[in-house]
Amino acid sequence: MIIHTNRFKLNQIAIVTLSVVFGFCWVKEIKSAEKDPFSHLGSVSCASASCHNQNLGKGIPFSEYTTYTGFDPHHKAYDSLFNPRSDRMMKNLYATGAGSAATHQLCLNCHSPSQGESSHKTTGFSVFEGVGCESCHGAGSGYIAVHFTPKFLELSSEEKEKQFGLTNTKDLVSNNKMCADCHIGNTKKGMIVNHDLIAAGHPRLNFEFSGYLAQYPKHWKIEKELKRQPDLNAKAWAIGQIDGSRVALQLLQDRAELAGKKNHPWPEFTEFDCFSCHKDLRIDSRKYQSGYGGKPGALPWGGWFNGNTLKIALEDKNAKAFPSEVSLQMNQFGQSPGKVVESCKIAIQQLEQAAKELDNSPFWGKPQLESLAQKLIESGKINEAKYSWDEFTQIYLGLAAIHNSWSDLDPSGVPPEFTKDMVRLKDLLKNVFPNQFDSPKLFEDRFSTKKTIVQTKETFSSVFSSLRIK
Amino acid sequence: MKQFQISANQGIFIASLIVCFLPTNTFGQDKKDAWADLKYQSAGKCSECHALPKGNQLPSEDPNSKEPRAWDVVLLTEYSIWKTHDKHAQAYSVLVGPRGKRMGEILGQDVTKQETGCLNCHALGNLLAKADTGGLDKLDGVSCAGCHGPSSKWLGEHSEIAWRKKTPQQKHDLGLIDLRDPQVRSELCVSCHIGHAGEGKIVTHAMFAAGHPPLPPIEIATFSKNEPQHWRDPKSVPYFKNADAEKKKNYHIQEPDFFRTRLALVGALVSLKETIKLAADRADFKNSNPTMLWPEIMMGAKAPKEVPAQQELAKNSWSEIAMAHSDCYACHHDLKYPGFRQVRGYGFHLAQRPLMRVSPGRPLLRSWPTSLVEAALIAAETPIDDIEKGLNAILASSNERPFGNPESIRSASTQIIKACDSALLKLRNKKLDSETVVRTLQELLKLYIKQNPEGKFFIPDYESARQLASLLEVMTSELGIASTTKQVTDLTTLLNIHPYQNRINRVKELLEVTVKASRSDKSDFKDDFINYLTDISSSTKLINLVKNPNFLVTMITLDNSKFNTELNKPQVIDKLQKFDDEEEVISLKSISDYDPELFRKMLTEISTSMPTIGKK
Repeated sequence: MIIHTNRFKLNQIAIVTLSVVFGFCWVKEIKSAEKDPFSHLGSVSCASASCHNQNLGKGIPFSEYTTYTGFDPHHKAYDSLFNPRSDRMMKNLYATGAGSAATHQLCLNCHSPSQGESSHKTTGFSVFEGVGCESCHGAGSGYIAVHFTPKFLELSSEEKEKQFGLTNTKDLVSNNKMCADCHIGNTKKGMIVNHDLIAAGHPRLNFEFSGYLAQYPKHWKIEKELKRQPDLNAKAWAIGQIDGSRVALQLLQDRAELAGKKNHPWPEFTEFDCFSCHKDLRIDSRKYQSGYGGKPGALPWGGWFNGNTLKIALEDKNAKAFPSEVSLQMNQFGQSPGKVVESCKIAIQQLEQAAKELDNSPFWGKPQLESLAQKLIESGKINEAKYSWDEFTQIYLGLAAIHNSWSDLDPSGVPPEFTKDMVRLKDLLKNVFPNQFDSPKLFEDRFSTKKTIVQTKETFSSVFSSLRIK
Repeated sequence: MKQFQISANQGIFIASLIVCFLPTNTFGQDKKDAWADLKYQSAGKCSECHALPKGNQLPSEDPNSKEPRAWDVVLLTEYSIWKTHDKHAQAYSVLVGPRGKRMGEILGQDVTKQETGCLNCHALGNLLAKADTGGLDKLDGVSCAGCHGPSSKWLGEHSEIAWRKKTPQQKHDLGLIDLRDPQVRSELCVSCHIGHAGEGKIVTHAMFAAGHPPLPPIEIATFSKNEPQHWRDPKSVPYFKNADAEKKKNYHIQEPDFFRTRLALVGALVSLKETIKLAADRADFKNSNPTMLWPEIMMGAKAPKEVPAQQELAKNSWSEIAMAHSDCYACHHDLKYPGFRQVRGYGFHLAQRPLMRVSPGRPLLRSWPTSLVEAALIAAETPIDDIEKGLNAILASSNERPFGNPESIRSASTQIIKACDSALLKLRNKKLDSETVVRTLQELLKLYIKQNPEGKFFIPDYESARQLASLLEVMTSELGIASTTKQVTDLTTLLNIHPYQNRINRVKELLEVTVKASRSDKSDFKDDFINYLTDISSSTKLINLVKNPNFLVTMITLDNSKFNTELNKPQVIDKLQKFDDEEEVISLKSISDYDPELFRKMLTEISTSMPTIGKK
């Protein structure tokens, strides 16, 4: 239990720092209408009292639906379209008469993802269910009648998906992909949160797979999963980095291809570091003191998905998969769409390969975890002067995943200093968001020990120089 | 309300103004051609007479004396005020100082060199670039010649009595800029304080990022006052008392009571026009002068050599170019939820009109220049429709793509510039009397504090609120409304409208420099000088000052070049930059602390404290 509590605390930063969070969506890739032979039956089909709604308690087998309705915010994804924020977003985005977000296809694409498949719905399906069972597990008509039979249970995950439409949830790449459609974006499915939407009021998307996974109110037994894959948490981080970057690059490629078309602004500002622009101006910024890497005042691309943590996750053997060329193109004004598309294509292929390799690689043990942690800490130390809040948070999330895996492998073996340092780092990253703020307003103050404002508070330098894992 | 009445005669004078003084574009092409052979002089030259009045130039100590004195017309302390008290005189020094140096390091440029374009605003670079400037010195920063014009043809003549009979046009023909004309003055100020593409006066986004302070919204009357003025308002000039029609016309003093209000209103229209013009000029990718237009692409070794390639690069770099004239705080703010931007919606905001919509999250042209246009149009009794149409066209171009489609910006700009010009003409022909000013003030306040038909309050951004408060201060002070003085002061303090908190410290430091640059060694006149600066129209304060022999010796023996050498020594500029830094911190804080609800609350209180206006 201690581990779980700890884990929750460590990872909640991914969400809590953005003071208001809604819009959890978790969908399976919807196959294009003509190819998908299966129909959506609606969550009610899973929720019978004798099946997945036995009401035994959180996370207990056969209480999956119980757990989901009781604890999982996806359950409320559709409801959120009726809240005041959604109303305001509609007003900001469209002139009066635009109607409710709950009837707007762009919103429904994530907030009730099965809605788009009208030809494949049965009477049981309802738009009200938001992100329901089939949004992630696949349309149920193919497997509902057989998925409990011994013969079905003998099949491989791939076969279950291919023949019966039950989505493979047993490998991390598939899992990440499942979340990423909504939480990062998928142009082909109309699942897009661009800067227009965020300015109108939508929370920013900063998905990090391992953190979300650790936080997720699970309707399955984590112990069973860990037995199957002991390094689950750390691998989820590395795969999340690599495959997350791939999805983000696919989104970028699509955006570049559509650049300038209606509703496809270019440059698309969500591609860039939010807090580079969105900060109150000050005369003593770190950039002013330490200088800019590139052209001063340029939009810095990809702090969240394509920073140094991706480099670390790729390790030396896959270093070439890092999207350096995309970075080069995106970091210069003009952001030539043609060149961005070309460079994305190459990087996507390599990242896809790297993620698969990693998913099939042998389980990590403590030495690998230690080495990764060292690299993350080192990166934070070296780049302390130029890292953004995003980059520090990514390092923190990586370390948190490693910390979790370490305690999975050896519950009493985690150095207590490491745990303590992680809590300090988490607090530091969280506490730079004052009440009511969605941006790290106090971030810059936490670098200089000279300023009176931080005299009694901790700075990033102090935490990074004291991070101890041995 | 008697004090607000204006004599019938003034109506006639204004009518004569309409006939005799149609606007002349002093800063257009005609200036360059007509003034091609004129020479600009250094401040040192002007200091020979304008450092301090001597002998019978001084005001008489006998209050009953009828003897005319030069001081009745002109202060003759202009140079001293400018040199010790006006940041324009340190415009070059900041480039040499720590901020300029750091900016240069970040940009990889020497900001004191002409090719970076910095000098165009900081040291009359355009004039320096001419082959024969007649002794203009960049170390003087923004000196006399920059605003008053080339003096080679009027230097001798302008101190003679006959000069006073000349019309503004005649003076202008000889090279003197008619700064008493509100439009001429506004255009001149905003050429640096907003920017001017044709004159290469542009602060690029890279320069801002590297440390250039943000350009604050400019309201000309308050900016003039804060400069500080080295001249008196028309009301306080003895020579203008009981002026005849000719004098009133020649000196633009038909409405001495509302001179500053007019300045603010004219300045508002000019600011909108020039803001739009700057963007439109820079969106002209066929322009043959890339060096002037696009410093962001021309700086650095990577710039292409040929003009067509430069134009092509500019076209591809439009988002960078456009950032220079975008609304800084639309992006640069910490994100608050719920934030007032999301509550009020996105687009241009005119208090009297429904929101002009744009897709959320699109960087827009600076929007503060739209804020006082309504006031100017109320005063001029001109509908806002044409300007609104133009602004909507600008928004449509931002819907097309972030930062706007350059071509549509250019076509929309023509419409807005035309509308501004016609409103300026209307305003020029409009008599500003107490009735007009009161009406304008009342209507304006109503717009800002009352709910609109949709039940919503108008929510201005910081810069627009600052503009409004600034105008409010100008108008209430000229109307002589005493009951709101404290509340208006609270408001202007909150919005940091008078941002030179370190002024006295700066003067003290610069008076030390003055003494060092003279043959005196005593600075015991500091307090007298500071006392004089609190009211430059006071003859007593001036007489008190010149009675100090150390002041006299210092000013008479002051060497302008030596002053510049002393000024640019590190111990001095570092200290001055520290003063600037402290002020900038306060400015930025007032921006991030801005709360539109508090603003409206204070405005409402001011409105209810205006009994005389309310009844009228």
